[in-house]
Amino acid sequence: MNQPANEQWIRNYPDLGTEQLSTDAATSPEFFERERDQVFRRSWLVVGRQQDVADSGDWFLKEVPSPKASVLVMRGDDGVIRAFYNTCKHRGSKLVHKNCGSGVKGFSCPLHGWVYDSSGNLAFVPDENEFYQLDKPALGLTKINCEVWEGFIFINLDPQPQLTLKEFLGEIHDSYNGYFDGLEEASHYTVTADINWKLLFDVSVEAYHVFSIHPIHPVSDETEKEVGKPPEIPEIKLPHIVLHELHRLVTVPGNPFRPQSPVEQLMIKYGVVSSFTFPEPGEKPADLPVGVNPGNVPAWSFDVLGMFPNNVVLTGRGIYVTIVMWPEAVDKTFFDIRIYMKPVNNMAERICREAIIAMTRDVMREDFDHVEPQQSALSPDAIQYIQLSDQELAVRHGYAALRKVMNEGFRGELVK
Amino acid sequence: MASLPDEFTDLDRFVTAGWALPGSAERWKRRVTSSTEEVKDLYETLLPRMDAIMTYLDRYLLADLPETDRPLLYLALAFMDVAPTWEVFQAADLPEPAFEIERMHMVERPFPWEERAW
Ligand code: FES
Ligand SMILES: [Fe+2]
Repeated sequence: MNQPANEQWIRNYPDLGTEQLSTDAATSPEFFERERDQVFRRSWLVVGRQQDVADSGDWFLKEVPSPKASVLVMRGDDGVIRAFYNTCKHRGSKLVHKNCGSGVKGFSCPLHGWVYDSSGNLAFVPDENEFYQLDKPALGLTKINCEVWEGFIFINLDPQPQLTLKEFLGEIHDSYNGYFDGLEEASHYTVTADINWKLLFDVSVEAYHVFSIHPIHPVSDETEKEVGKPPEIPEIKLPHIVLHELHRLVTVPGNPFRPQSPVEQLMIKYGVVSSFTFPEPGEKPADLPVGVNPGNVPAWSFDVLGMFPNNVVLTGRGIYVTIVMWPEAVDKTFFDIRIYMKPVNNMAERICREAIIAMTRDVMREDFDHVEPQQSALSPDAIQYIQLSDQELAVRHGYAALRKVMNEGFRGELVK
Repeated sequence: MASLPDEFTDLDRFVTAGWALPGSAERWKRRVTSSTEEVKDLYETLLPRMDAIMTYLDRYLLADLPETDRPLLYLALAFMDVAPTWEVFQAADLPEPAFEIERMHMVERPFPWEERAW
């Protein structure tokens, strides 16, 4: 199942080709506009988790920057999660201004007081008799397609999506089997950075950069400090790569021989262990679903699931992280980063968890710190093509899937 | 200024120095604006006391933590925030140039005793 030594992953995916790739995908405003219209306007996009709207009357806003859409996600009195444009159907005022809330019966428009119920229906119009003919049932909030998969809330801004969510998810649809349930949001932060959204996606699906910029990362090894240069340890190679039609996954190995620091020993003692910090010894345990460590890699640390188009999910034991990338311009992106962990049973667990959150946050900073200068240097005068190794095959696949959808739509013959 | 439970008065100076902060973003800022000596002192002093702190606090459920004991929790969290970076770099923060923490906007997870502010 895993790649034998001296063989390259590209052999499994010969259609991807081996040529250098144009930088226009990260620099061209024209490419950005096509991407917005062909991809972001038509894809299923993750906007949150169902626990963000746990009860009827809970809601949150998602401001999608491009294509611009203010999206109201709300759980109705009937328990159904729906998404609407946050726009009043009287004269188009912005209905809701706060970020989120809970326990509401509905919303009243700040401009003239039209009232919508928690299912988006127009419920009340002040001074209704003054209107000539008002088709109230047709004047509910404009719906946006909204579906839930494994607790993730997806929207699709296309009124008639080319693919159902199940079709869009393809091979990963049945691969997680409750894996994402039961963990809670432990940390949440947002970043706006001057980069094309794909550059952070790209460093997330390769481990080639890890030794250069992530000394804090657990795959680092003591010998690195001793000899002052990264050793050629096999752990740094991606031991498993799976490329689906739209989505992709790489497995990141841990280093079981890495000495544990004093605080890591403390965390182990109090039972706060995530595979991010301590790789799982031996073979894949039976309780992990097929989509997690799909290659049955020994000393597995975590997987990076690159969900088309803009969501990177790091799946480990007792922890997963979502990084959702919302493009604002060709060189500007809003990132929504959330860490989910096992609910804590006691104070010691709550305290120890903080170290994992701090470490993850600093690893993210290391990525941002290097990717922003990358964008600034990517001028078409300086570089027209990027070179990708076999270890960066998932990066190549990302561009192939993107171009395919941009050129042929979701129903075209995609990457095999 | 809040002080710590009797058996932890040896750690009071960290409370006085403003390390016992309820917010994750505030703790983080406190860390990265510290000197190396300050962070070293916090790390080395608290590391051998963490077992005692966790044993002490574990008498409570998170939601029931009395107000007087909250600074001890905040201090323990400050230690955990400092520790990973200290153990790798022996520094308060990542090596320069580090991505500024002000650019990372924390959506705070309030403690049960705090206003639901999000
Ligand atoms: S625009 Fe909303 S009530 Fe008039
Ligand atoms: Fe990275």
